[in-house]
Amino acid sequence: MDLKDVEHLARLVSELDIAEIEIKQFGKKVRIVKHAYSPQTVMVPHADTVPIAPPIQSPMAIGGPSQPEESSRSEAAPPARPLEVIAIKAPMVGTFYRAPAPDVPPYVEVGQMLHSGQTVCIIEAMKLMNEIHSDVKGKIISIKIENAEPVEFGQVLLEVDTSARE
Amino acid sequence: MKSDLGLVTVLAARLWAQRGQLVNWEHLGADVRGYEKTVAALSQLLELGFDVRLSPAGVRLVPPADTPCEADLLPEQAGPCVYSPVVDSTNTAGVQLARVGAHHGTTVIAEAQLKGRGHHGHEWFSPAGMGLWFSLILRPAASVKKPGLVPLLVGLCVVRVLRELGARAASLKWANDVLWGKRKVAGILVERVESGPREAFVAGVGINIHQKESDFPEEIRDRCLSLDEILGASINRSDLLHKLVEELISRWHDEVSSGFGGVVKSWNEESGTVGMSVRAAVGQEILTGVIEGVGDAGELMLRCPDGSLRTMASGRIELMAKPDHVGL
Repeated sequence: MDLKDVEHLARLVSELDIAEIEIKQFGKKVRIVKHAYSPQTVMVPHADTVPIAPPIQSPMAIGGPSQPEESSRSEAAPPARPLEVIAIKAPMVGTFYRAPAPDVPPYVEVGQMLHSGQTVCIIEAMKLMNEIHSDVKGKIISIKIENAEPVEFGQVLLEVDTSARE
Repeated sequence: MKSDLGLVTVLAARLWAQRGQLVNWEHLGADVRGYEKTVAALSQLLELGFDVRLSPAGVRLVPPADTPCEADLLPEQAGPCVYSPVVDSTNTAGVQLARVGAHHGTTVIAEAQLKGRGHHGHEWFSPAGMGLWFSLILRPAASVKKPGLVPLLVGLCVVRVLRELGARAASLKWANDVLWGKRKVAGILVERVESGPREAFVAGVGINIHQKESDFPEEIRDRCLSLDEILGASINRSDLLHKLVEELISRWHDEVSSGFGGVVKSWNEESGTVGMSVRAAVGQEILTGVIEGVGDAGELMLRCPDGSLRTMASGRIELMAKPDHVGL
């Protein structure tokens, strides 16, 4: 297992609806855990895991016997870009709406680039339509709530990869 | 032929600018655009309730007698008045204006709305000359800590003005539907927008005024009622607009400094629905209970049959029965 594999796994955990993944291979173990409300995908070092601290931010920190040879990495393909996932959370209890009205397109879609201050949805509470704005920029990787569903305070509405560039 | 809504709006504005006068077809651009297209758009104006008279010489739009289109009808405290004979929705226009920095008190008025909006998914039937459809931009000096109280305040203002006119038994169904019995007289939609460092509330109000029962679409006929029908008289829309804007702006100033602290007490005393049994839908859940009032953020408090107290920040309620002490 090399750094690329770890990055690939981290990406899987981040993009798919996986909370945790653990891989055992050649006597080494890697566990990647996504915290529900944590803004980032983190790796939790295990007792018998290769010392990783924290590989997403500093890929070169991998040490130990399995450290991949630098030369083994293709020069043509740069290392996979690490994701920096930020959750946009509900600032209030209410009903989540993706569009200002039922017959108009949603404010945002998955895959779209988001700029800071952009309206991402509406939360209705006490029949007040509150525009919810993003305070980060990046690419929307998931929308966690269905239109017209109730949301609780602090519930994750969207996840944004702030490392993405257009 | 399907008419295009942009053209409907443009023709309405042009005819309105010369209301009462004959506007020739060329001035309406019919020779360039095509007569068929122009007539289709004019037909839609007729459907919207405008008195549009077509002749070979041209077109005449006769404005409703009590049109609320003059800015000087508004009280002194009001801001600029933006009037259009036809808009998609006054609230949509109000939100756009608020985003670009429109002043506190700016009032957006339309004779008819193409897509009058109620709460999500509900269209508000708003034909020309029949009611009052307007949106008022309200800007607090500092961020409002309990913004959920703003829609309740707007509802209180509307119900107060209607009661003063003689509709004494008008009531407020949470959060801010104005009812007569179980029928809706007025609807309110408040949207909160952030424009730069300041927030703005766009308070949209729609009041049924001159409709007869047969004027309402059949599918909502048994759920709506107009003010004229309640009072047995013809209410002047301009006068009513003046009173409402005055009430809204003055009550806003009274409440904004105290963080809307008086709204909860007023709502519980004046809504006319405390103590009523309701059925409520919160997401997929349906529950029943008796209204105890609203909490300090404007949430509805329901006493459920098992004795527990439920609070609702969102969802819909339906009135079940009227207890004796709230007489119609």
